[in-house]
Amino acid sequence: MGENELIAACLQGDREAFRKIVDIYKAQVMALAMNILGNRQDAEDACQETFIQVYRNLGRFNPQKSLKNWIFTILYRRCLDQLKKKRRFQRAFNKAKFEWPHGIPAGISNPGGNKRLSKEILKRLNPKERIVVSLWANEGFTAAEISGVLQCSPSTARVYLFNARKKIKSVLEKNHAAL
Amino acid sequence: MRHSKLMEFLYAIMPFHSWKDALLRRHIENCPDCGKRLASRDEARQLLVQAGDIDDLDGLWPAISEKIRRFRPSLAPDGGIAQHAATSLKAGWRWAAAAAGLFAAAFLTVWLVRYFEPYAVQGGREMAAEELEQVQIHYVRINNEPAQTFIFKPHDSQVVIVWAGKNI
Repeated sequence: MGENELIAACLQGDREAFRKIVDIYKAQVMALAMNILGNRQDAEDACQETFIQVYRNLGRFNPQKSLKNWIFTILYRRCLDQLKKKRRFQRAFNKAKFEWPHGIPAGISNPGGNKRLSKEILKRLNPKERIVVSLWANEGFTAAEISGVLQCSPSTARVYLFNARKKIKSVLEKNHAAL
Repeated sequence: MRHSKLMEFLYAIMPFHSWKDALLRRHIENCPDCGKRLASRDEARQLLVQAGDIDDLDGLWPAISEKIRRFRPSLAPDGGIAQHAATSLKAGWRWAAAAAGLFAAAFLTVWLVRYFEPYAVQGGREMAAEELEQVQIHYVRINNEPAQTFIFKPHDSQVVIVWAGKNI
């Protein structure tokens, strides 16, 4: 069954067809979410929210465009929302000087995941640069395709990509020098 | 080395992404020295999480399925394309309205400036004439020689003090 047939089936209320769409894209979506958010727990939340939003708005999807890019666009927005929420929570948390009674829960201090995003990458690249470089390196996207996901101009996408590549190179050189 | 630093400086001082992009396209992408300072796809992949690194995603579908059970996908009246076209059209109108608003604001500003300019010039001339009338004094000479002259006018007073001095 092709992508368009799956979408048509979903629109008829066939949840098994939507399950197939989730199965096709879940690993890519999860990897991208982890590259933006930096930990598995937040990435799983973002993935769930993304697929739920995809299901709810499937009727508005333009079939002439790529479903993958559309899902990535939704994921990108969800991740930015999550980062904003997290920042707000962090500010409130710092203000309250809250202390966990039994130490910091594992999910917060040491988020789960098979491979964790390098701390240097999280520290040095902003979320937009992380998504741009992730789409470019992992998915093989061009600047024009990336600009479609980020809803910005190709020039802006190229500038983000250039900054990200420069920063990654300097991280790699630093790591190499440390060895 | 110096060349790369110069390009980086030029890149850093450019305020707009479109200008930076022009520099990137014209020079940096074709310059081997500058190209060496950028990570390749393979190098970037070393530091990123990839789809192959992710396992144990079996819990994702049950969580999604639980939440989507309650509703069906919302259908656009004429399918997705019509909805998309309507959105693009709306965005186009928004741009047109913004441009028309800006044009109207610019036109109003120019008209106001041209309308009030003669009054402002005339008022300025009258004020200048008044001031001249108030502070005009004759050339001060002592023993037929020019003297050092100071004029004081306290802020909240109509009194003008003229002090002239000459060392003989």
